[in-house]
Amino acid sequence: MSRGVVETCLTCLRVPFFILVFHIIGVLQLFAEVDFSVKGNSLFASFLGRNNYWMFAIRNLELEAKGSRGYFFLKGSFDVNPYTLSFFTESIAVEQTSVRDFFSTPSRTLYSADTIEDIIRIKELFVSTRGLPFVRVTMGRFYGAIGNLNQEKFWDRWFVERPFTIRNFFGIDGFLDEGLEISLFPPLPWSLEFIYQVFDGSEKPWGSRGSFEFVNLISIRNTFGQEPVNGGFGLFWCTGKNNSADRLDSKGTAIVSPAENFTEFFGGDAFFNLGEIFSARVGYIIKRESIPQILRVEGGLFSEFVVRPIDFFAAGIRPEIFGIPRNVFPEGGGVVSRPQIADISISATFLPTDYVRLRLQWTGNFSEAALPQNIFYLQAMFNLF
Amino acid sequence: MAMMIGIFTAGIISASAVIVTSNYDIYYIVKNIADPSHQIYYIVDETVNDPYSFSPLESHIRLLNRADVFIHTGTFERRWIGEALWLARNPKIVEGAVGHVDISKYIRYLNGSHCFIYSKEDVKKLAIILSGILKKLSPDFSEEFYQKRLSEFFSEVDKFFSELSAVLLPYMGVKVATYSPCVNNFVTQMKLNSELILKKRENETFSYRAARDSAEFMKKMNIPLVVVPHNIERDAEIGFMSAGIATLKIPAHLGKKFPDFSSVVSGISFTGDAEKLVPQREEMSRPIPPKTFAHEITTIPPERPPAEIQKYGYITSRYSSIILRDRPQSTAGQAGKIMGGQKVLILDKQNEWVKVTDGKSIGWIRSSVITMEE
Repeated sequence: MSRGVVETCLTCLRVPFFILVFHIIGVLQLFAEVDFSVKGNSLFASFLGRNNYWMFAIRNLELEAKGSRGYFFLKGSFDVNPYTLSFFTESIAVEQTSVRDFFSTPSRTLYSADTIEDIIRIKELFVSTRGLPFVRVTMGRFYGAIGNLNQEKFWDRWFVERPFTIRNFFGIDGFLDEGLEISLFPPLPWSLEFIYQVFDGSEKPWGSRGSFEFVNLISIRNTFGQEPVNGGFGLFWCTGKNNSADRLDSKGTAIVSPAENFTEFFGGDAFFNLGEIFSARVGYIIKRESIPQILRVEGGLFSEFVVRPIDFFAAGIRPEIFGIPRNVFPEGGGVVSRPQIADISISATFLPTDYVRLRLQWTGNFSEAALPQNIFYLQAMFNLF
Repeated sequence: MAMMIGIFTAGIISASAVIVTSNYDIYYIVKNIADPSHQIYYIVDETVNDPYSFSPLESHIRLLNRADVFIHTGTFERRWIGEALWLARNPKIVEGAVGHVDISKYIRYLNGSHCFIYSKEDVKKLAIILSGILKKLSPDFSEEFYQKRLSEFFSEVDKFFSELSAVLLPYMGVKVATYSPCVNNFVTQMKLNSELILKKRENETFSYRAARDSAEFMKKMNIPLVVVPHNIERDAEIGFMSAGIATLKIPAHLGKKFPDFSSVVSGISFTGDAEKLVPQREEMSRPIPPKTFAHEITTIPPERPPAEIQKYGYITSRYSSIILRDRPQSTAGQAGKIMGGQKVLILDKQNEWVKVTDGKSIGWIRSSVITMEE
């Protein structure tokens, strides 16, 4: 695909933000059978250890609409920016790893909301083909196909946040950006999917123009088995350039380092489900970042184990190690090893009805070079319809 | 592209087709009328609490991907079918394709519910329609084969409904309340004496308190029995039992627990005091008694004049809903809400306040917002 075509497609997405927000429902109404859902999530967290404070945040107050007609499918969702609705007991040293998760950028003021863009964010907005044989083309803003856990939204997760490794590499919202996807699905007895995604990696806000920095992603996904026992694995490779290392607010999430650098990610994950009773996931992502003359290599291994013995209760444990390896190869030669971080979460989720979920979670973040950080979460979620 | 789609839809004509149905009820019909070479699957069964908010699993998506035909009811699937078909990326079963069968075109729905399985006419009609569709998938099997399958199935359906009638015979003539529109459909088909539907929508959830309030309403209407689905909320079941209302539990749909018609008949269970149903039955069969004399009435005075209070009315207010109060005062606590236009039973009256119930909530409202039924 030529660069010109891709640029034209991506330019289409760069219409002013407010027009998109106020026209999203109008566009969806063109489709028959539009389905709306409203989901919300409030979070109380207490941090003890490296930092000591508590916070309350309204997170992911999300309106989602999707519709389909014939060979097309359209999905749009927007949510309230959690960074404008968070309340802390004190100002936070945002450079601390466990705290940075809750912020967009270190310079961002917590309570400022100058534009509607600061309050309402478009999460996903894409149009996709449906029912074409073997191939599917998607255009818009959507999640990157880096394993399964990146795309899971809060209502489907068994933990408050995505795994630490994904958060550390791609930000709290996972890898989400504007782009184009072509996915192939050969007719085989099992499910095999080849995905190619190209994203606009530049840090240009909605409505402004600028040069594009492409991020390319190739992924293969495989799933086996039928209900109730099934499993699968996925592999991906992702590379590109962009201007920013942290784009958590209106634009999207960080994928690569500054423009003069070259970064690539590769990794994969595997899952196994035994009905709804037990599920396990294991994944590994490694990042190679070449700053001229310096090479940084860091990888994270994450796993999730969830048991749901009865309908209204599920318990999960998520051990992770970030920093295998975690080396810096400086200009003059040699290797500098950076400290490893172990992160462990234990969660208990109560599902009293189909529309409400309550969760208690403890997360321990243990770094070789810093004091331990304990986070206690109390999360309440609802899914209205 | 159109040509490509045509080629793929023509591919439906194969020796062994994969047929996916959205629920077990359709699956059961298809299994009984299709030829045995087909692979038939279902997505939702009766163990799913809320099929409306159901999220198809990865295995369901893969099933839809392999499907030659997808048959659904066109009701509870509306929320998830669009995305599921997008994920399945199967050109044979998207809307408009030959393999996409929406049975809502063919059968009538009561209150938007999909409980056609308890309507003899709907089951038979659907079987004929599906048989016509499935016939095209199996050119190897003759017309006679399908006719034979259909007639066997029809005799099974007739047997099922006659067995159901026999099991429900003791409840004939008893005034019953039905738990949901689906159950009401069943009760109506079985010619039981249905007086009240407790849930307005199929996907409404019932709590202990709602059950207690309904039970109170039923007592006022002299209804001793409620017909409930087998998967009724536990809290609601306890609510009815503690209020002394007998329950007749019927399987709401076919599924893993009730895989065929005969298991449905054996799955019907009664809980409560059967003796309480007897007087009403006798009352129904007894001739209308002669008018009582005035002096007989004065011997046992009624607690309150029933002619004044036991009336129905309609909520007529410019607001869409009215707050029910737990006492006849505007400063009293809220006891629930009642929708405008709702029919209510008047239970009591104090000055300008009336105590009303709609079967779910009970409380006081101002008499100015109510219009009495003539």
